[in-house]
Amino acid sequence: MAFIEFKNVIKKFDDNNVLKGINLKIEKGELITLLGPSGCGKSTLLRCLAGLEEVTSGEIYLDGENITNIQPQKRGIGMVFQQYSLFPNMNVYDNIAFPLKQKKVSKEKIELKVKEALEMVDLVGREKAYPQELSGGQQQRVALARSIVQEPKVLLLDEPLSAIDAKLRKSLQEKIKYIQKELGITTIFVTHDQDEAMIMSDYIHLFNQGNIEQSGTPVEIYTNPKTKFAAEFIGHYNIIEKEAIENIFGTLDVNSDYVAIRPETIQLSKDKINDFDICEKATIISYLSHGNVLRYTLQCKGIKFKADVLFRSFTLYEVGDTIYFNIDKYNILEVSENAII
Amino acid sequence: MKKNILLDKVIMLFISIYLLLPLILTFIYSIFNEWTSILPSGFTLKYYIQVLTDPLFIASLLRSLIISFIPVLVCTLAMILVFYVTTLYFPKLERIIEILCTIPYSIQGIIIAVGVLSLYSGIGGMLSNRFLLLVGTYCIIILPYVYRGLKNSLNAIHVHTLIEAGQMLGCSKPKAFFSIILPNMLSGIVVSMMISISMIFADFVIVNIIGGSYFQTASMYLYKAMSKSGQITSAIIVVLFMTTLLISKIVTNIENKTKRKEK
Repeated sequence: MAFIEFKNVIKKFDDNNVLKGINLKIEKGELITLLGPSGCGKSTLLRCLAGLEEVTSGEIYLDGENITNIQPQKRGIGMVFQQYSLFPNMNVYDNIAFPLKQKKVSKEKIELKVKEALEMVDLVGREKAYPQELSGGQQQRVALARSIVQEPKVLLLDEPLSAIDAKLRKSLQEKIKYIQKELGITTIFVTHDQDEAMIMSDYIHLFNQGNIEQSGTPVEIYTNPKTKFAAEFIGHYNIIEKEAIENIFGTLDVNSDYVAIRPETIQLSKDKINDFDICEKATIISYLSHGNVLRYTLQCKGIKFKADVLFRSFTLYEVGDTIYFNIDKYNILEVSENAII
Repeated sequence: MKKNILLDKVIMLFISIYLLLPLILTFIYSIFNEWTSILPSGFTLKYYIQVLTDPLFIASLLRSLIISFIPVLVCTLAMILVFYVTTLYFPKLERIIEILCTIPYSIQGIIIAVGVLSLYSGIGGMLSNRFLLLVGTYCIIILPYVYRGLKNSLNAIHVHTLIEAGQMLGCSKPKAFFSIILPNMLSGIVVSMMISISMIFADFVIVNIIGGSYFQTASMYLYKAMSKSGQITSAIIVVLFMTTLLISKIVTNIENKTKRKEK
């Protein structure tokens, strides 16, 4: 049996079916991510595992034990919330010591453990500070320390970095990943940010409308999306109807109604290149700079494509330029309209 | 910027003078002998001695203090329990509770007092006990103030997330409410209690209707003294003011000590 197992978990809020029969297994020590847009059910699943929401039907197992009806405080699960949720009347030390005091751990042991936790999140010297005196990043590190100090069986992270600025978020992503590997805690990370999911996870479960749309390693999901939704959500893919694409490129060996093309697999050139399976003329409609990448929108026989090109001077094209659109057939992926469950 | 600060100080000075002047004049009036011409004939503390050695005044002052504290404690404890239940188990009831607690705002004290008296005074037994009738009536009168004070302090914190965080750290829901939420509401509790205590302490109408001669408080003693001597009345007012000031000081000191202890 897997370390964590969801068996046909259904959760309804009145008539709204938020989780539509989730079956999911998570192995010990993994860092997995539940990824999906707002309202897809990922946080609800996390809250069901934590015990903060009751499941409508189905069962949840943790380490072989059915925890479906066990109270949250008895599940041995730690959780970090998006809003930090530090206790405002307690300083950093007391916040981190709180779960240990609940377990009636001796004062000496509490001191030792809090010190270790503070070292782990680089907050030594801030023990006496109150939450309102800390930055968002520091508050979230305290929340993380407070959760790991109780040595939970599972650590749940519910969009913990959403309220933190981009630069700090990157360093915290690394910190969380480092701590998770160091302690070997089974960790479930919830996010709506696909880049964050790719950076953090050993395994990603992509959610859509209360179902798991696709599961796999970050590379698998990115390079081989199975559905239109997965392709659109994870990698800014060009999603094109099979008929439309066959009008341009000729007959393709594709069984689905749609194909997906990753923008960076399209190569643009001023001159014709014969090394590619497909080479067609296209016109540049617009472009946007994404830092080191330029995203061109181009039109080829009435169909618009996005193509990503590394920002180097010789790859700069202007709006209205006629260029060549090059791609290999193996980069044209077939995707189904809906998930096959 | 400097101009603004100066203006602020001038405004503050005027407001302070406006608020303190009646009290200062009352105090001055209470420490002088006969004041029939431009200047008083002499300085004296005899009115204070007279008031503070009068057993009737001491008894009525104690009654005022008792009747100011008990309803406030009862009402605050009851409202904390109400918030505990509505926050954790029946959040949909919050709207109804709010309406119920706001109703006493719209009813004049005199109407409540007469209503309570006509309903319960003839029943006999414990229900017609004047002290209990007073406690009950004051609980209703101060309900909106206690409710609003507690509700505001509850709104200032993320109650549900903090309780959930507490649960994830090994607390039960009730324990999380009382060990995490309640300490964070302390300032709001103290403020609403102080407002309520001073309201009841200064009340004359309700205590006069319900308590009457059964339960004479300081305000009723003051009312009677007004017909005897202006200086005695002034001395009583100053003593009552100092009493409320002392209570406020003690309560805020306790609150600060608790906060420091938590820190």
